[in-house]
Amino acid sequence: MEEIELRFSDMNMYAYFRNSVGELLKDWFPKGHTLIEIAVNEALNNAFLHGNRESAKPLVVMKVSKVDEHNLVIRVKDLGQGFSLRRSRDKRARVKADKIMSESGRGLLIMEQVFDDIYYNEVGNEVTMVKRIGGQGAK
Amino acid sequence: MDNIRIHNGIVEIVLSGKVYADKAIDLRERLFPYLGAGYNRFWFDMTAMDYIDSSGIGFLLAIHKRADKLGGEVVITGLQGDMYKLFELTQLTHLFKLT
Repeated sequence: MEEIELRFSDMNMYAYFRNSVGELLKDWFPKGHTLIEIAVNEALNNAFLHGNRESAKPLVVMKVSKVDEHNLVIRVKDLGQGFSLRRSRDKRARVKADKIMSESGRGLLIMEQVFDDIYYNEVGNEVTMVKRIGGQGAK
Repeated sequence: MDNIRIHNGIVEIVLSGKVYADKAIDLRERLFPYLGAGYNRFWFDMTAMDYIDSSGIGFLLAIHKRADKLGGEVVITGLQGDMYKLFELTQLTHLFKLT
């Protein structure tokens, strides 16, 4: 397994490393890396925008793990209190809801459509996203 | 810098590279004045665009809604590969006029 962990104190800091994360995903998974990169960035955007509102010292931790050539696991954690939507398990309802015309809130939709499985911790401030690529059960 | 020009009353925009949130804000600031000036037809060429996130998509929806209210439309051309797939996954291929 290959794994990296990155810690960011603000969005600008992440923007500095954003291309490197994209290049890493491209190196690991040459096919389909773009959609994964977009979905990962959506998770980071959510963490910075919603997760650190109450924190004087914001911190977002991202762990990217290439389990094997077909399985990628990405965890994004912030210091926030979580929010109710993160705890919702009703994926289909959100995809079919009136989000289609909504100008915002589409990041979660992208994450859910790109990744095969998404889990939230009990608090709602850590998301674990699993992507199966090219193997059995892949989207 | 993305290219914007007026051709036969249509605002034509060529998007290239990666459209992150900051670029989406820039596009909003540069294109919304055309709505105010009476333009209601927008043509986006995305042939050379290889990344767009939810903020960019939000911008496209915003301009689509406003153009539609003014009796116009947003046309998107050149979507391919992963970019087309993203629009499919988020059910935008039904919403926008694609050529």
